[in-house]
Amino acid sequence: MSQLLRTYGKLLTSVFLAAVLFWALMLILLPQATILERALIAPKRTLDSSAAQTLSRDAATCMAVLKTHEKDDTKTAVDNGGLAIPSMNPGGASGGSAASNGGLAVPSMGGMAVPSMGGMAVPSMGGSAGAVRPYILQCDRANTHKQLSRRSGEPAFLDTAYGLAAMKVDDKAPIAEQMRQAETIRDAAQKLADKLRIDEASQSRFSTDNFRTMIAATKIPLSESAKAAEANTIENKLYGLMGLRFEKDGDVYERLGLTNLTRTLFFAILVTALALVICYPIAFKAALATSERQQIWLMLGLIIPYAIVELMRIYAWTTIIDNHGLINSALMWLGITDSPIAFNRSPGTVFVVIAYTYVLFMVFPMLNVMSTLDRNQIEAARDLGASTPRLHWRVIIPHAKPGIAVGCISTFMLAAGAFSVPRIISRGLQAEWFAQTIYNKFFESQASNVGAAYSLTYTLVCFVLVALFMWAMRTRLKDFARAQ
Amino acid sequence: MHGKDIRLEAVGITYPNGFRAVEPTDLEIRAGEFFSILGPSGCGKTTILRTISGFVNPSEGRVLIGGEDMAGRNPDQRPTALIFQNLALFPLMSVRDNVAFGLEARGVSRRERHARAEELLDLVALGDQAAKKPTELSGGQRQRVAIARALAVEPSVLLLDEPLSALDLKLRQHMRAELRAIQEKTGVTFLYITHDQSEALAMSDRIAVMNKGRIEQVGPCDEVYSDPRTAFAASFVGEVNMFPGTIKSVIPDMALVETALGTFTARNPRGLKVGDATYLFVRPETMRPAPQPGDNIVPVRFERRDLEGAFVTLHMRAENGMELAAQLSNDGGALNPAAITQLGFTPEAAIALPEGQLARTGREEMAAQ
Amino acid sequence: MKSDRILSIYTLAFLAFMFAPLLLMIVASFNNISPPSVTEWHGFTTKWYRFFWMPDSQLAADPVLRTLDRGRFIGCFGNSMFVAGIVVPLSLLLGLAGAIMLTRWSSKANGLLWWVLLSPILAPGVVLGLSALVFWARLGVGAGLYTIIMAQVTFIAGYPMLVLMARLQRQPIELEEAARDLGASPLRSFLRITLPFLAPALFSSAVVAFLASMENYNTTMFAKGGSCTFATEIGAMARNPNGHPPVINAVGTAIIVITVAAALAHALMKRREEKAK
Ligand SMILES: Nc1ncnc2c1ncn2[C@@H]1O[C@H](COP(=O)(O)OP(=O)(O)O)[C@@H](O)[C@H]1O
Ligand SMILES: [Mg+2]
Repeated sequence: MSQLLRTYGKLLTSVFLAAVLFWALMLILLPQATILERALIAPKRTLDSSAAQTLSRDAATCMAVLKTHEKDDTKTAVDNGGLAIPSMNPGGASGGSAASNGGLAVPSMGGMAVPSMGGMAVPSMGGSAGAVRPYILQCDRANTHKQLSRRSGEPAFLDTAYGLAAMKVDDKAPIAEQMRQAETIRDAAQKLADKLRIDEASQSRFSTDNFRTMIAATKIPLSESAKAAEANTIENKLYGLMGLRFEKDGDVYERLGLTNLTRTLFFAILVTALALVICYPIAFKAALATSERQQIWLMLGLIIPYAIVELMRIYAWTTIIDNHGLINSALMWLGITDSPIAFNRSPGTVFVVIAYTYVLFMVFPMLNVMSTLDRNQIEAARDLGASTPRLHWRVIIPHAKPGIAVGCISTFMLAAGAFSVPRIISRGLQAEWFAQTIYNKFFESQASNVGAAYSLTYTLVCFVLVALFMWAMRTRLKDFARAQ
Repeated sequence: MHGKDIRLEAVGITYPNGFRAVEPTDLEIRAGEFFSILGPSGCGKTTILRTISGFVNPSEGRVLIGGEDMAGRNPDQRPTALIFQNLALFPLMSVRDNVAFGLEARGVSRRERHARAEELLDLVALGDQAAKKPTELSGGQRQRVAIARALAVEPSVLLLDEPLSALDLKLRQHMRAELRAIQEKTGVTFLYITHDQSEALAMSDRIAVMNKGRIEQVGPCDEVYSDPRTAFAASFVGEVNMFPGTIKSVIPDMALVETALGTFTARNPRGLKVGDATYLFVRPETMRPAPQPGDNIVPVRFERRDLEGAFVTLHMRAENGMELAAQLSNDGGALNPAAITQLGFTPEAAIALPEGQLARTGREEMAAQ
Repeated sequence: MKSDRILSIYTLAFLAFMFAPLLLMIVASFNNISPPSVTEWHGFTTKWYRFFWMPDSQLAADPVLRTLDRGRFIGCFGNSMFVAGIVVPLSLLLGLAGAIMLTRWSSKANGLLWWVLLSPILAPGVVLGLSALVFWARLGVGAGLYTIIMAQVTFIAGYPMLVLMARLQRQPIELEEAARDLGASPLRSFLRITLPFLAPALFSSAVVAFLASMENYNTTMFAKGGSCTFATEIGAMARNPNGHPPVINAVGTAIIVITVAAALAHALMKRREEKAK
């Protein structure tokens, strides 16, 4: 640092330092940290405490509403007491008395009311209960046997999970009785909610649920015949071998997130290998095997398609592969097919267009490094009797290795991150590339945090692959500057 | 222009990576003198130079120029100008702008600084090259541009980091004379560093011999050459024959040294005691094929004769296989070297010094590189 | 030699493969049918080009063109220019700072800094767009041109950095030191010595950064929110169920012509320079 200060002075050094810090922190590290944070926060769901709180609130509302019916109740009881519902009167009366000395009544009523009233109510009173009070949603919901939201999908209930008595507001009971029940429920639920809230606050809000969602297996609904046909494709057999697709109880499951990831990486590696094979001779030709006059034109021929906007290079293909495109027209004219082949449904097309779009990213790093090789070395090797393969193997490839490595890494990363090509070429007509999966998870579904987990995982997987490759090729990051 | 003196007081330099490049060193360079630091590459010469010019901070001690402490002063605030090993001419500027750059930085008007630049280019005999780019000049010309550029800021001290090492022999010899002439004309203190002992001896008033971050000896050239203080100084400055041995007896200023090839009398300037291990050094030009009475005598066998123009070097082999060299003036082949059976040298020509590290020979240098 | 012939033929074939789709695209841009086609010739037309300046009445008369939103298209292009206008200088600044830190700052943290600053170039583009979106949203900045700029700068700054670094490594540090030694302040030494030395590299990386910003689709799609750029708008036309309008071919042809002209000019300049030497 003192060296920097001495050469560039305080002002410039602090400008540079600030710029680099801004870049590293605000643009690179902190955004990834935010992604990590998002990936670790499970999507919002109903917490148990809020389930209890809702219950308590429902019970309270139920009580309030019941109170408005309390007077109605006694009134109706007087009006048509003797006539219509003789047996209800004592209930109503006892309800009234219960309201006056509620403290006593509760314990004895809980056990008594249900059997005695239930037996009575069902046969004779079905319709007339409504006459006592109308249907009250909150009273219906004021039930401690309340289902809790669980990610695993297994049912759980508030009363069984937290040792609460099974209670509900009995709509056949006298109003006063119902109010007492609601009050009990309200108080118990409120107590539980307070307790749960304290527990939940001390729990971490982070979980690995999003990552688990990513590797989770999804059931694939298939008819028997389709199942047999699908099981025979090479792709699915390979997934089977990798444990990405399996059968359980006669149903087919696939780990969709992981299969997408695997397929994308596989295609990206394939594109890279293909590009390497295609480009090595071109780089060699342009760097070492042409006269200086020709070289300028050859470079021009490579730079022009390289510099043209990526999307345009992709669109250029649509006239070739469309249903009415060049290839289909040619095939139909030759009589090979009658109806056009839907190339945009075939993963092979995306593969070819990705290769076309990114192949030049392989050429230039190789070419740049190769052209630093002293041509005299080639002459000397030839002079010493080296054959052409030996010349390449012993002289040119070792020299060009950093360029080869950088080219491979660039091409791989572009292919693996491809988003524009599959989006434009396939128009959603075929399996997603992983970048599309991330996009869809993030923007087109509610599970944006799962999208964050996908994104983070993808970055890490790609980095590990690149690091392994660099280690295997004995290249260093500094070679990226050399390959310019 | 007037030269200023430089004083290093217990200056020690450790690089941030922990490498100790210079051990605590005291050194005084007088105002207006041509001083050289001579040492093998990697011994810390450049480090000292960069410390004086302000690119490296000493980890301890003080640097004083003209009596002023330089601590906390940046390179642009010191009365020094540095000529870099690779010259560091600005490639995109014309020769004139290169020379005028220091004045530009000081806010001198364009007309004035160009006039001054042309003046200096005349001084280094490049008056007609002012409009060219540095890349269009020859090595020697570039060299002189660098000197003119450094002199343009009227430094009191000019620091030169092996500026001639890239030139071929003829040009190098010519530039030596020119540097010396410029130094005398301007009166600026020159601190010159080099690993080439003949360069240092040819130009300097005084030299310092440096090894592994330590200055081993400081003195006028003649003194360092004829009275080396350490085994390293003796073996690095000039050619030398060396006999390992032990002190057998001591007489005032002289000693008897027992070696594998016999017992020799030699000077004993460091006051070695009886029984001390010693290296005995004899310069090849003091070796004579016809020993006089009182000489130390080594029986030898002739091996090879190298003609070097004014001199011939005879490579001889002693009984124990040790190689010895004798340098004689070229007598046109009158002497038959094959007939030589012994070499002699006076006790005054031989010097006994404490055992110590030796400079690498040519063969070792080659093996190391 | 025979192997040389094979190599030459192979190279020509490769170039043909690279150029053929582009040529077809140009041909289709003059064909009076939508979606663009090269197999059915419906007559020569320049209307896919004139789309950008033809009067509204004419526009409304054409069944294909009237479905396109010209104003939006031009607006998105303007957005792209605005974004590039900020991304380019910002990337040059960050790239320059990064290059200087990496080449001139000797420290143990240097290796780590290499990884951090180069990681955006190594990361999939979609990830950068997404993380910029999420991060700035957290700081209360909604998705839009601002997040597009931040997401693009993240990786585009890497290109100038690599180019400038290669150049800085070729500049001996002694040049800057010599200037300091001759009495120049750090700022003057930087402006007078280092910057002119870097100028050609700065220029070429500005061109690269501009192109990268204009054409960027993958990163921008994630960061754009409700806004649009030239590239996303072009990309959106692919979603047209009837195939994209040949207007895209016209734009593509214009881009090809500009690129070819620029590349030719560059090559000719280079040749003249070499001849002058
Ligand atoms: N910036 C530095 N950091 C660490 N060690 C250095 C640095 N510069 C030089 N050295 C080491 O210090 C020693 C002396 O270097 P230098 O002064 O350049 O030697 P000389 O000029 O005598 O050849 C060498 O071993 C060199 O490797
Ligand atoms: Mg040195």
